[in-house]
Amino acid sequence: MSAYFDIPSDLQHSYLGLIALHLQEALLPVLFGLLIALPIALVCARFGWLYPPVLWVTTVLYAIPSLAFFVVLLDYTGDSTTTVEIPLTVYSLVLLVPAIVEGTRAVSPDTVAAATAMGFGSLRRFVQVELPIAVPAIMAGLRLAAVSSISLVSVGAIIGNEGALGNLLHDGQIYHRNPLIVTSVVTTALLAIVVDGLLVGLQVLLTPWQPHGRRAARRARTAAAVEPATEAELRPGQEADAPVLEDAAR
Amino acid sequence: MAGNPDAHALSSPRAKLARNDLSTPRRGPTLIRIESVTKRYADGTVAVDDLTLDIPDGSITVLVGPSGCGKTTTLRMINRMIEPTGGRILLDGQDIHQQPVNALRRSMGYVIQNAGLFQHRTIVDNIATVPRMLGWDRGRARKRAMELMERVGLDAGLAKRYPYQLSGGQQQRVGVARALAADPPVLLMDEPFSAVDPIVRKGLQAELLRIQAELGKTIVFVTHDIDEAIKLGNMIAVMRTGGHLAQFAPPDELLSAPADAFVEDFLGTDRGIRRLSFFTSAGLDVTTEPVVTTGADAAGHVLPELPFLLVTDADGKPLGWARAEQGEQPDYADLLPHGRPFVLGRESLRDALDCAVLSPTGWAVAVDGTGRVAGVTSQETIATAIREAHAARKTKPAEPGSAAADPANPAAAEDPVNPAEAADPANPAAAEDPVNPADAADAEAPADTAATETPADTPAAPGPDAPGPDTPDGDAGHPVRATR
Ligand SMILES: Nc1ncnc2c1ncn2[C@@H]1O[C@H](COP(=O)(O)OP(=O)(O)O)[C@@H](O)[C@H]1O
Ligand SMILES: [Mg+2]
Repeated sequence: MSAYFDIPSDLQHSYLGLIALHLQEALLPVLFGLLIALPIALVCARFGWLYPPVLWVTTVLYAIPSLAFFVVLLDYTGDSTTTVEIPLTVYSLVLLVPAIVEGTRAVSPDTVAAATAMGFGSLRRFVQVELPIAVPAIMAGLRLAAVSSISLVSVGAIIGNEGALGNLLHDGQIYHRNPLIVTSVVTTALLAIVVDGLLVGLQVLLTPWQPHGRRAARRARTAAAVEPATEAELRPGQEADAPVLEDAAR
Repeated sequence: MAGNPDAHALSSPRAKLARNDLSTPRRGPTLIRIESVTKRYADGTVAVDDLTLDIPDGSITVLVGPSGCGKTTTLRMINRMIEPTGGRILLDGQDIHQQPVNALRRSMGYVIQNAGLFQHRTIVDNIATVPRMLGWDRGRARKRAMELMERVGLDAGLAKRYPYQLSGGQQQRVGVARALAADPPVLLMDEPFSAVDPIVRKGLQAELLRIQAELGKTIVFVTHDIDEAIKLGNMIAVMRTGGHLAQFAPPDELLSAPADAFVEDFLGTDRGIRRLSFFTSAGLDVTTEPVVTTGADAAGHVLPELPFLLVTDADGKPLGWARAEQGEQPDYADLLPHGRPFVLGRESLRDALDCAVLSPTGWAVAVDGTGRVAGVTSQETIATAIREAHAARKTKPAEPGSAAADPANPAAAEDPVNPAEAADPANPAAAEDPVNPADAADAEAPADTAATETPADTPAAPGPDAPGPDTPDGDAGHPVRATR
């Protein structure tokens, strides 16, 4: 057993310490990414023409290899967690901006029209209507960002001692201790699975308004059947005329 | 002016109705004036072309026309979701363009086809949306939302549900409740019932008329369904492709005098029959001669032209038709079904005719408000009443749809589903009359006109459709109908 969990002293962390460091380096960037993505998405939603150029820039950023990113940052932030966290923040951003923009754009035009007609300004509408309804899409982006961030942290081993479980992998290689490699890989995978599961749980908590699972779906169907509802009633309107909303503030 | 939102909130809706309906014989004062409005979209499509329309206060105005004729565009220009490229729109005399856009929108309820509910909020919170935005505290807003759920016929148990847990019809009711939440004077409805099945739609329409009778809102209702327009509208604007107004008239006038071939075609083939909905059965001749209580001696009751007797129970409720020859006793054990009777005076000649056509004997059974038999009548008698009704109207060709030519509000209660509501076919405003002496005095002018014209011009028809000049309903111009 100790072959797996006897952590070399050069890592300066216990096994649990490595896990904590790994999570911090992986998830803080996702959180920052989300905080930065929200205003960017808001601006993109408000001024639709901005979205294509923003998307282009983020995609180009995503194309930069993480290694190149780390090497450039080393000159500024040195061998610190920040050097790992900045690129991961950028990558999260790249996943989250489209998730939020597409998610809010997918809100039914009827709902958006109803909100506008009730006197919601565009900011209030974004925050109170479009964003909450986009939560499932945003959560999908967050899950992707979190899982890829967890796996990318390991690359930090290459620039020094900030790769957390990645450094364990690295030590396993240089000390020829295969069990450590197994520990590193399995632990990273388990972290990803657990974090993903927690995010799914969070989504269920955040969206009580969505049918979850088969039981809820059945309940929804039963509720709908109480009234003589027919297919026609549950189907979106036959006459699809949803003229693009004009903004009235002229 | 009555259209001012604050004034609406203060004055009782019924008092407002009384004022509107009595002071102008033809229609209420204009609340929304659409003045030479044109909308050309960026791609060059002219959706609305030089449209001028006066939407009267406190009644239902329907915009109807084929898909793509510019109805939605027109409606959305009223709450500035779309800005016109020409002309202007006045709300209560004020150019809406001068008003803060979100405040303007909060003074107008808006209901759309698929309800457009906020799927992430519970039903009660959906309904409370606008009150909350207006700064009401949570408790008050929720209380108001619960009241409205009851008003639109939703079970209070649904309050904590989410929209996905409701049927389409229930969602649509929530949409109406949400639009009414802050008690706006104006309600804009864009094909609100088009996506529900016919049975649910019928219920929603009846509900809307009931709510309207209680609240007296100014409703602009968009539909592509002419039957729905005729059923709901006090005034109907028929639009044709390109955003042109083809005709603007009350439903009765639309059916009797379509402005052109387009309107006539749009109305469909049986407009003669449909127009009968606007003729009251009040003066229809019915006879109690062939009506007998079950088990009673029927001697001398059988009419030569009708080899049947209508048998009632001891309470006077109809049981069925018994075959009978003159001078013989009928077999009380062997009855033919009497079918659906019509309520004399409350339902229209169309209902009476329908009952007669469906009756196994060809005679319709008339009942009073309590379901007791008032008499029976033949298809021939109904046909005579129809001819008289038409004749009576032709005496006022100059003023179609006006108070004198518009017979009471005969259609007030065609809806047999709702007899309790329908029991008061008279304009609810009538009862308010003494409350508003000044307005009542105003109303005397048209009433007098009617008094001098009606008896002179229609001596033969005091009955079916000419209300006495002093009948309050008759003065009410195009009255707000209780239910139809
Ligand atoms: N945003 C838009 N841009 C260009 N054309 C539009 C737009 N919205 C509607 N139209 C066109 O304007 C016309 C009227 O549309 P609309 O008012 O939605 O009709 P209706 O509600 O009567 O079906 C149609 O020809 C439609 O295609
Ligand atoms: Mg439309």
